[in-house]
Amino acid sequence: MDTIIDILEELKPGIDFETEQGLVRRRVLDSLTIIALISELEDEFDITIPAVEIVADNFDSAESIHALIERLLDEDL
Amino acid sequence: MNGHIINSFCSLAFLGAFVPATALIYTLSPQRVRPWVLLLASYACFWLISGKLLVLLIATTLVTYLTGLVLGRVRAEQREAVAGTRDRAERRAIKARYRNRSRMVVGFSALASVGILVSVKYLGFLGGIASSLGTLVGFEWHLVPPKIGVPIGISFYTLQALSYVFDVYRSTIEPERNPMRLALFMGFFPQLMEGPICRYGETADQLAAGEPIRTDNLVNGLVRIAWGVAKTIIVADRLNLYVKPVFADYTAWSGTVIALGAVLYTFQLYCDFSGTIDIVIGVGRIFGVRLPENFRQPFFSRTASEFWQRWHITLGAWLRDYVFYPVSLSSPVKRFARGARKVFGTRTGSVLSGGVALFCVWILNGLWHGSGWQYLFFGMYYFVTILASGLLEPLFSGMRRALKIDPSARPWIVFQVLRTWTIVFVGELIFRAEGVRAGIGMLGRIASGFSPAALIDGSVLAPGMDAADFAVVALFAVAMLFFGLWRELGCRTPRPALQHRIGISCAALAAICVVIIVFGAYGQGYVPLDPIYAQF
Amino acid sequence: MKRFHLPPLACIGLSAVAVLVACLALSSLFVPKNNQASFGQIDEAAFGVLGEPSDSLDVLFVGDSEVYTSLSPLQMWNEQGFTSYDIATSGQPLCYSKTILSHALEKQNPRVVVFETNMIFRKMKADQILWREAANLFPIIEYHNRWKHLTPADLTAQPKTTWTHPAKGFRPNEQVVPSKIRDHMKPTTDRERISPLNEWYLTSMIDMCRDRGIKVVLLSTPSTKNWSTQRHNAVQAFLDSKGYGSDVSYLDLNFDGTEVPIDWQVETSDAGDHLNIKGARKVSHYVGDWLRTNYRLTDHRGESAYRQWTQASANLG
Repeated sequence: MDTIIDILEELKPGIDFETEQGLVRRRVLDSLTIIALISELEDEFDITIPAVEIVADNFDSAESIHALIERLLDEDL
Repeated sequence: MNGHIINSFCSLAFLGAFVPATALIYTLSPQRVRPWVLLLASYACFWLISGKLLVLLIATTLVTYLTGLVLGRVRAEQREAVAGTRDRAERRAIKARYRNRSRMVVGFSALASVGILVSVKYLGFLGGIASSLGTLVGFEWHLVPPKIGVPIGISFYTLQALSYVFDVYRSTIEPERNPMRLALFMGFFPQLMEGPICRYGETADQLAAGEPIRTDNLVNGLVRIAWGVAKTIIVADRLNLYVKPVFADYTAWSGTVIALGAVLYTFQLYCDFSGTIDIVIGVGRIFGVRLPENFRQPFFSRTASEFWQRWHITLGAWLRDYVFYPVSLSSPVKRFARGARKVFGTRTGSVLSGGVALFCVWILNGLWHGSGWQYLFFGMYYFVTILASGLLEPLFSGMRRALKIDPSARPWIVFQVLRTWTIVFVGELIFRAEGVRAGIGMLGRIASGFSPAALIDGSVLAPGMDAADFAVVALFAVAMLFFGLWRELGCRTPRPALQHRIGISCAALAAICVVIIVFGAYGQGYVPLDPIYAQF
Repeated sequence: MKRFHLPPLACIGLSAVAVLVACLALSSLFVPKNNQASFGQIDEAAFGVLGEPSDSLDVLFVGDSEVYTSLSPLQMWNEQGFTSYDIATSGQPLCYSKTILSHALEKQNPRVVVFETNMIFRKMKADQILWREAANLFPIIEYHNRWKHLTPADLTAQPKTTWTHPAKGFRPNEQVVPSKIRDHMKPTTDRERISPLNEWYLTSMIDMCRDRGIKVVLLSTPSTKNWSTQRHNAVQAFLDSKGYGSDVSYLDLNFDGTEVPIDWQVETSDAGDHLNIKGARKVSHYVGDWLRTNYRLTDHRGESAYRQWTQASANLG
């Protein structure tokens, strides 16, 4: 969870990612930032995030990103 | 009889005859039959617009249907094969094998439906390029492909077909076994002309439900239709008096007139396209189908890329989901991204690698609108603008800090909005111009010959519209601005009790109808504008 | 306290009625207060027919530009002594012909109504027809654009029709552009198709005339561009299928036997599409003579009630 917040803060400084619940819906992250975020996450957690997972529900908050990663790690087994 | 009976949704034949007749038959039919009524009406509507070219829609529908079935079978086989083993590496290998098979099926299907699209829409353009390439290397050949005619909405329904196939491939939806449901998703008649481009998961169930026509849906649908007709007939058709002559021969007009022409064209396009979408959504609503919105107050956008998330939303979303993300997440682009981030730093690196995907998006966006160099130019214009704003963002934010500008202050927001308008006006000028050369010529004329004096001495009124026409357009623009602001600021209309709501809607409906009858730009002295997006 | 609420369907019905009532009220406000362009009248040359005294016209010519460029009522008056009027508009679709003809027949009871046949082959769009029928019911639809020019007088004034076109609807062309087409009437048994809607409008206009005891003539004026043997055959087949007998006659000025010899080098204004004034003189002479002979039209010249015709003819020189 902390790793995710660190990545987010490096990409887009100055936002309270602990509480923000509308990263995609309120356009805090634009599509280019999301792309950068995804490659950072893939490197960090050694997973592949398929394009189909890029929906607002999965990226709207640090928690939902965390949940997505957990799920992908599970599925890969 | 071979098509051309209905030219536009904003016509008496469609709104006064076709829709009421369909609604009546729909109501009288039992619920199970209703989806068939809609399908039949859809094919009838297509026939009334494009005649025999209906076979092309049916062909694409069939290909898409079969692709779904085949993908479903491949997936079932994969599930069985995977279940047969517990070894992780082996499972991965099996998955990869079946993924390749699915990919081939998807590729074949996409090739077929895009092939139909390309052969009716782009062969002339490609033939022209091939001919001139031939001349370059010394061949004298002229490739003139046979003219088949372009069926209505092919660019829209092809994208819907592709999205269905991709969604089945990605397992976000189950393949459809009932061909009628898929055919209805592909051909639902209100969407035929100008979209919106729907996803299977979004509309298929609603379409097949055969819900009865409810009074509140009927009234709200009618109000939405009337509002759309008002935008189209009162504003878009009227502005044609000005826009058409200016773009037909720009050399005859001063820079000021051309600049105003570009602004008015943008407004015309907005009224025409969003007005038609209002009609479409309203007609869908009557049959209990909630179609996705295609516009969200685009003129309040603060950046060009935001504008494109709020204008023709369903096309932008399609390109985002099926082009932008897949391309940016494909392994070569990812490798490039990793390298670029190391060399240029995180920010610039990811903008650059995102640029690859952005380029694909905008070249497709341009081409989707038509086979003309100006559309490619239009796409590249937005590609460069949006990429540059991404690259220069650190510089801009530095400048903002140096000048102590508060990015959330009202004046700054207004400045951003006006800047976005300018970018959009220039873009639409390129889009509408008769070719790339004319577009550049027009921009040159604006740059060299813009004089505010012309705004005062009345010479801007020269092309075709009188002061009264301008007054109507201006009043309407103010009304739209008011409604837009209302929604933009999140104001909520106090919701009256249900019984009153229908009464109020009916009163609004009657009022809009009378205003359209008096102030519509129809009849003698006006030539109705062909729905602009129907030709794409 | 329980309040009364209208059921939703009644709301919809009520708003429809409100729109209809508003259209009726606005129609009387927007309708031109005289049949002249300066009052907002559309197609004033054709609607000038409403300014002719009641029951004063012997012949009405209905059609498109072929009519108003080739048939001169005043020449026929001078040569034959009967009165006529061109209720013709450019590109006239049959649904509009019916509108103008109905208006004209409210005031006139002519001996003969002549339909020029070019318009029988003009394609009408579904929307055009619906729009026309709606405009017939509610003139606001036709004259809505007068909101720009409404005056207080429009509120009170009663519509009048006191104006008439100086040449009785005839609008000749002076230009000369020779026609290259020579073989527009080459023999064939093919025939062009008359669309069912067009046939319906034509039939209903013919019936409108027959009901009033008016004789009907279908007339094909000379035109190398608009006329052909295929079209002639179609009109002939239409008449054969109907069996109107002597109520309806057909006169084709392109056809061998009833042909008016046109010099296509000098007597057309636009390469065979329309006749110019020289061609029009020939056609008007032929048609005037043919009508007077076949329908025994009275010579009104010299009658005091018809002084305005002598006057109009003198005014045009």
